This record gives sequence, structure tokens and C-alpha cells, in this order.
Amino acid sequence: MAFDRYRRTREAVELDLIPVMNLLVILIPFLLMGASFFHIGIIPASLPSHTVADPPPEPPAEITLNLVVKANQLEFTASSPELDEAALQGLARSFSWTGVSSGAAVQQYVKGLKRRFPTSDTVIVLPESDIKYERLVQVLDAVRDYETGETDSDGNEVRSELFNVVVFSRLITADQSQGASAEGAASEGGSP
Amino acid sequence: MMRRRRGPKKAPTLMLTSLLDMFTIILIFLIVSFEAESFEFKLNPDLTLPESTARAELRPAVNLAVTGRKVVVEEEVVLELQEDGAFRESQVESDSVPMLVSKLEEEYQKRFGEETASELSQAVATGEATSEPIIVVQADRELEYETLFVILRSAAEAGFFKYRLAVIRS
Repeated sequence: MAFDRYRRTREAVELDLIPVMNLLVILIPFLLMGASFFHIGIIPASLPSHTVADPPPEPPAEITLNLVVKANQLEFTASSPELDEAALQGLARSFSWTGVSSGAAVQQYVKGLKRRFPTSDTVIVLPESDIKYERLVQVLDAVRDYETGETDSDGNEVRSELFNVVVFSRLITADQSQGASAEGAASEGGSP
Repeated sequence: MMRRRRGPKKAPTLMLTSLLDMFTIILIFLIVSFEAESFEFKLNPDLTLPESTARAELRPAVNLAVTGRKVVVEEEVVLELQEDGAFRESQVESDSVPMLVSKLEEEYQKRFGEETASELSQAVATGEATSEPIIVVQADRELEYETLFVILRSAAEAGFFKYRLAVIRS
């Protein structure tokens, strides 16, 4: 008898979950609308500046990196008013590019330049006209910054900057330059 | 043999516990992935952005999208491109596209009035203004650089000297 009474008492305490379900059914579509399933990032860039009204350019960096992006090759050269021709030629280098995996060697080279010229941050990018945008982004990823292997307090990976000021320009080949005025690519690197 | 008598039959009830467990997990996942953006960024559905390690955050700016066949400024189709994603010869004049320039000039006027880009940059540097002429470019990953360059030149002609290339963070 005592046992029967005990059973009746236990059955009476069953939780009514239906209001909680109603709440969740309303909340989930609302959160689904606001959820982001991918994260957008940005690559800051600029073109060489030609306008007279622009403020005077900042003091020149130690070197400006020029990067020619070809179908299967990357050609790096440097320009600087502070270094002589022989020193600048010693900094030039070419890499064959077969994909993202080629980025490590490029990044090593750019890191070396950054160590030698820590105040330099500008890269003038001169891609061939048929280079795909995706490829360009891959190349920029190798040149702009690198993973330090450390994480910040929020758990995000820390990236250190290399040549993160990107200036796009047009590659003038030898045949195009005949009769056409130079477009001021390498010599007129604009501020970002 | 007598069959054992059972008590009065109970009304069947739904077992909601497992359903509730599932909803709780979904809810937690959605709360974690919920990101309140400070402004609305509409990704053009006709293009695929390339992946990048870039970590810089998006800021409010004029939105320009280049899909394989169209150039769209703030959700308005400004130009149709050729099948290969290049501009028609008639559309380009000395490395810029007049139709695109005029549309971007209109956007510039709407946002910044008569102030020049350099005045605005100085005002931002001194804290007198909060925004300067910047364009967020969403370009399809298959787009050729030639087309991208002409678009950037057109934007520069309209007064937008700074660009933010939108990418998917990898």
C-alpha cells in the first residue's frame, strides 16, 4: 500500500517539456538566419597614385619589392634609392610556382628580406594579364604575412607581417613598352 | 489459468527527451556560429571567392562584385562581360570603363559629397571623419587579372583609391 502511494507520487512529477520545445523551435530558425557558415576576410590593396592633389608621399622604405607573377614563375626584384645596383641585383630571385605548396620557399625568401629590411612593407605586384584571381591571392598569402606558430589569448593563430602593403600594377613587357609610355608601375609605388 | 488484470490503460505520451537533447546541441552550435556583424555584407551568389589566410576584418564600404559575366555595384548590374569574363573593347577607354566610373562617382557623391579622397584620408587620420572611400571587391576566383586591373583603375578614377579584396578565410 505504501509502495502504491509512492508510485503515484513519482508519476505526478513528470516534467512538461512541450513549452521548452516550443521555445527551441522558435529560437532555432532565428539563429539559423543569423548564423555565418563562412568567414569573410579582406586583403587591403591599392594602385599607384597619379593625382597631383594627393599628400606628399611618406619617406621611402628601405626597399620596395617588385613581384612579377607569370604563368609558372614568380620573379622578385627590389628597388630602393638607398642601395646600389649590385646590391639590388643580389636581392633578385625567381621561383617556379606550381601551387600553394610552392609558397613555403617563397615565404622563406621574403622572410629573409624582411629580416634585412624590417621597415620595408610594400610589394608592387605585376601579374601577367591572364593570371587568375585565385592564383594571385595564393601568391599574396605567401608574401603578405606568415604564421608564427603562436596563438593569442582568444586561441587565434598569430600572424606576423611581411610585405603587407600591396600595390597592383600592370606588367609592361618589352614589346608593349615600345611606343607606349611607361605606366609607372615600379617607380611610382603609391601609398595604400 | 487466470490472466493477470492490468490497471486502467494510460494515454500514450510522446518521449520528448531525445528530441530535446538534439535541439539543445543544435542550439549550442548555432549560438557559437552566430556572428553579429556591424554591417550587412551580401555575398554575391554568382561567384566563388578564393580562399586566403588573410585575417583582416571587413569594414563598411562600397560593394563591387565581379562575377564571370557581370559587374555589380551595390546590387545593381552595371555591365555585362563577355563569355570569357573580359570586357568588350567598346566598354574600355584607356584602361577604365566609363559606365563603371560614372556609377562609382554617383556612389562617391552619395556617401562623401564634394570632399576629395585625400581630404577624407586626412580627416580620418585626425579623427574628424570615420569613413574614407574604400571599395570591397568581390571577384570570382577564375577572374583574370586584366579584368580586375581595369576595374580597380575605374574605381580609382571615380575617387576610390583603396581596395579591399574579399576572400574566404581558410
